[in-house]
Amino acid sequence: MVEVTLSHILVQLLNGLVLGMLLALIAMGLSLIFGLLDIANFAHGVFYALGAYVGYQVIVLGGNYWIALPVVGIVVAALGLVVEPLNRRFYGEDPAKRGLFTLIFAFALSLALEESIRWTWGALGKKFSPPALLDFVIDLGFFIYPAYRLFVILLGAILTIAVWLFLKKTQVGLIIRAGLQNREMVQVLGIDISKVYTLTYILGVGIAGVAGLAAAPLVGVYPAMGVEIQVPSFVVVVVGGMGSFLGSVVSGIIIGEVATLPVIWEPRVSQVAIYVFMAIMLIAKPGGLFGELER
Amino acid sequence: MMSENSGTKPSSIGQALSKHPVLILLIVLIIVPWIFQIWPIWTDILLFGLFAMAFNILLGQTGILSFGHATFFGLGGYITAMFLMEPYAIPRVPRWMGWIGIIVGVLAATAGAIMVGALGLRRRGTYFALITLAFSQMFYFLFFTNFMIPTVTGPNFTGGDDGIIGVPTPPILTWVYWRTPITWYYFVLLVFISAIYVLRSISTSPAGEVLKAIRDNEQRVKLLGYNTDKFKLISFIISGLFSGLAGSLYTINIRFAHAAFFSYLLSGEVVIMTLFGGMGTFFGPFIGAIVYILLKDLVSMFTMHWMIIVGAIVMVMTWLYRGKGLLEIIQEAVVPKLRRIR
Repeated sequence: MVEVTLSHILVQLLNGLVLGMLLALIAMGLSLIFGLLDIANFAHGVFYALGAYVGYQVIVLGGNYWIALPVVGIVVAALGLVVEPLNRRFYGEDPAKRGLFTLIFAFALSLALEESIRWTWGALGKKFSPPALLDFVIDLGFFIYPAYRLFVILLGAILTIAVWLFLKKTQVGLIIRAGLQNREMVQVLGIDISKVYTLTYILGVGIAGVAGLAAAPLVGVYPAMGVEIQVPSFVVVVVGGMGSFLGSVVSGIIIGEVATLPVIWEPRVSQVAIYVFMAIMLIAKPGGLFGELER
Repeated sequence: MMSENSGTKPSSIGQALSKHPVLILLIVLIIVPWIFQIWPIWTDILLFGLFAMAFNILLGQTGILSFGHATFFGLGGYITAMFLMEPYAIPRVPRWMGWIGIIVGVLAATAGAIMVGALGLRRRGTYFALITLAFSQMFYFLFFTNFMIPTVTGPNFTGGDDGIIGVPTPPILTWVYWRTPITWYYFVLLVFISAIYVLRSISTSPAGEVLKAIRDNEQRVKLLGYNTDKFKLISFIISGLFSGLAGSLYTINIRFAHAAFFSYLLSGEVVIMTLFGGMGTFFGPFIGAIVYILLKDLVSMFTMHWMIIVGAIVMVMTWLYRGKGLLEIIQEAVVPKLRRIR
């Protein structure tokens, strides 16, 4: 058994934060989409994967990571623009059935899209290096740590704050928050909520795409990366409470740590740990950390 | 659900069909495989059909979507496989009593259903579906990473990423080498029909009607005084039990067990099968299983990217029919015409 030192723990703490940020970015989109549109977006994971692949393609076509960042955001959001109207078909259903059908529809979409990725880029993964600018390590006193990972944490924080400001300070953000509370009332007030729906959807998946690009140098680019992050991100929203922005961010970071810290003592536990944690949370706080918005 | 009485003449074919569906199904399944002798595929159809019909007790009848039903299929299959492999059989039983392995597998699946149901049903609808998915992943990793009790039976408890290879088929009393594709099919058919008979009895019982009521309007059922939480849990357990039976037989079928039994893909496949055949009828999912298995085999002969086509079909079907499947579509088209045949 390897001796556990402080630097081990600090490294894993930071690794957990990196994963937590990625999960938070994905979960905030999932959470908003579920809270506002009533869609459990199974396809969120595949948009994340598409983000990584689009980024890879940008670099193959001669661009670099920094160009890829906004390109990925735009391209994935545009894809979301195509997909979101398809869900409108189910809005007329009663709430119970709606959740069911949107979930199945999104699941089938994710299967088809993931297979399309395999068809377009092949089933094997692609190597993806961190941008040259960040490809070094920093000496943080106790230990050295890759600069790129710190960048991911920073990027996550920036995006989180940006979305938070958007929700809190802008008109559209206000409408979204109102819609999360009471959809009908917003419509009664004469606001065209379907535009807000679309915006929320493309924002959510766009961020997930950027998260995918951010993750690419860390985990590589491979077709199954979407589904691999999908279920943990569902755990994040179940624990954090769907429709809660704060819940998804905090829960994302917590789950990121829960998945990473146990590696110090028993690597095989890390995959299972988040589900055990979820089970415990279900018993202790069935309503989610920040409460769920009852529909 | 099936055609109702249409007058004093009891000669309508639809009526005869609806009185004894299980018997009719049995006769069909005894005879039809002789026409297209693809015995292993028919066996697959029976097992996944059972899985799908058990799943639909929860979805179509009670109105609860579980996205992790592979958990119970996997528990049934994997635990049975572990029991049947010599080093694990606890306690050692005589060879001919190996069938206890199936009972053990089914019990494991039932225990799993109790646990997942008790924890998950605390949350509503979509949450519940995701929680079931999460649990299936938990079991997947538990069995895949061999992370269980490493010292009790040796380091390789669950077979890890290799799975368990070479699961034996227990003898029928003294007849050890009884298994051939044909005899195995009829054996599975026997178990299948018995299970379906029981499942259908439950489904058409008064308790089954309560489940349908819960699906349609849970609030009202509660106001009528029923403990809907209890009914939902029981529905979940029954569904899990029979899913476990399907898995249990499946591992003997393919002589192999693997963590993939718990995969989200399998969970998704059973949802797709149910959707193809239709959630609204008891036998719909069986038709769906037939269609899905044949479609998958057919399309994969042409391309390895068959999933795109299947995914697209599911999307279209959900879009167009929203839960109505082939069986209902056929029924609505054919039954009124049958009534005119006096």
